[in-house]
Amino acid sequence: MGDSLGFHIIIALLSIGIPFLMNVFGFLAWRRKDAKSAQFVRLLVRWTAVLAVAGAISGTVIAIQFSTLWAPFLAYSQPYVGHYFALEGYAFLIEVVFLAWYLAREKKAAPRTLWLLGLPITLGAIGSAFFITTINAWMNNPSAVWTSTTALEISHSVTAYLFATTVLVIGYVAWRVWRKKTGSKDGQRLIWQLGIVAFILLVIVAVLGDASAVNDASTQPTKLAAIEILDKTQTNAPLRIGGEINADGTAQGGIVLPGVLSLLAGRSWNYEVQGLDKTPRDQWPLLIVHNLFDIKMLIVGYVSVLLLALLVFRWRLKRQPRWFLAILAASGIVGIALVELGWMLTELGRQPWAVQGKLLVSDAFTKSVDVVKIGYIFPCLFVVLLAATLFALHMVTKKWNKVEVPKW
Amino acid sequence: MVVALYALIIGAGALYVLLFTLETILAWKGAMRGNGGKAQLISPEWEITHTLLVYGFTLFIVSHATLLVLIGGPLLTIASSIIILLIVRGVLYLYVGYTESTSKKVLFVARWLFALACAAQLAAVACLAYALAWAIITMGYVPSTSIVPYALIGLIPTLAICIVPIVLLYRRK
Repeated sequence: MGDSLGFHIIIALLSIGIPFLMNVFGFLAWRRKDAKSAQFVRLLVRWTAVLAVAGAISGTVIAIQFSTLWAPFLAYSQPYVGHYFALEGYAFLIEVVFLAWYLAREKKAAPRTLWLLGLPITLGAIGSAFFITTINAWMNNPSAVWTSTTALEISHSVTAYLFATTVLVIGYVAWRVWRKKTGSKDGQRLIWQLGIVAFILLVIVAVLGDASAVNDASTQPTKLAAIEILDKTQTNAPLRIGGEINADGTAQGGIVLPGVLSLLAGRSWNYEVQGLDKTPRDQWPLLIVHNLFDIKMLIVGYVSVLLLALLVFRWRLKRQPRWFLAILAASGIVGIALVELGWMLTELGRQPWAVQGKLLVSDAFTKSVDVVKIGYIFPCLFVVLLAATLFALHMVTKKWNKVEVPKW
Repeated sequence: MVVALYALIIGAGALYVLLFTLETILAWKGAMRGNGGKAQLISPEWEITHTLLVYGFTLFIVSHATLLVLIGGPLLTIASSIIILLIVRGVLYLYVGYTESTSKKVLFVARWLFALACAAQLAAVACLAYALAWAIITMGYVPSTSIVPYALIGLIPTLAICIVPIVLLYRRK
């Protein structure tokens, strides 16, 4: 199931992010009568069409896996959040119907009409994420369906999807410009425009991430304690980078910043942060979440510096140097890595619970023995599907290059 | 409420079967012709087909969750077959639909495999539907209808939003 979700998350985030960029550049194409933006939008809509195919396949696979492997979870959660599954279907239908209409009307419609047709595609994709993330937020904080966790998890994850996609597209454009060696004006301008979008999104994601951590301190204290390997409940709680938990349950090693966790989680040095000592040892999440979080923060730092450098180069040199284009191109994937790490933290940090404090993973999963026999087939098939998706993306881009002849 | 629930599930399922059968026929025609028909095959309307399957199936699993606890294990084999066929067919769809390969031999094989995968998927979905219907009838299972009001409330604005594009899209066919 992890492989299905891991794959689907990539497709899902791109299915939200690419239409969002379609709308941003569609707006520029309409309002500024910008032919270059219109050209770029035509590439993005082709990518969206390919991703919709892959997304429908992986989405169906997940629904089937849920119905068989996670039937006890479905039975437990149905009275609380069952209707969100149904409503997600409508959002996806709206997205796909308007995508089909967009593709059918693309050659004849005016830029304003195309922009308007693009809006339901983005809203449908965000709607799908909204309903599914609501279910996940309830799994994390089942005190009610609508809690502070719901609002923060939805807003944080959706903006992270938009950010990850924008960084990936920056990487792609940078690669194209870098390959041309001379450096094109159009490509440089596109990187600059995308860079501004990414920077704004980064700030929003960071603010929402911080708010989520504050919220976790009160709603999911065990998860926060595991992520920060905080062994004892205390005020003036330290933030530990690196380090580990000993066999006796005490934390050691790493770089310790005294009081910083209390300050971040409660906005005060005197804020008491709950440690792992308040949770029975057999209910501790997998402590690998601490390492994953450190890696995530390292990547966040890296991508922040990268985007700042992009803005500075544009301001000082009016272009991105060639060596920096290579770095941007190589870094396109980091946004997706951040989203994957974020979901791993969410899910592994809740272990051993499927629904926090209510339903154990062992009780949520089917007892069927056949799973082990067939479980290894799916990761292989998903690798093939990913390869086919990349192939189709490559082919539509190649065809677009031939028809549009972009100068970047 | 039970009638409304099954109307939604069967309605979506029937539409899926109808559209996917058309898609399968096109795939077979394309395979037998050996060339052409590609534009029809990756026509934008086909994006909607699998969404109907996802929608109908999701409604089913949520409303029959307690039944699936009992029969989920035995269903695993057929469900896994569908998953494998879905992915294989999807991979072939992406290849056949987007390739610019000029190798007639490769295209010939891919088109036939795609046509076979479509037919096999249709058969597997029919088997699954039959197995589920059999389980529901023999066990006298009564589904949960708590999602029906939400599904109906969601259906009205969705139809209102989508009816114009759907009519315009399929009128072209």
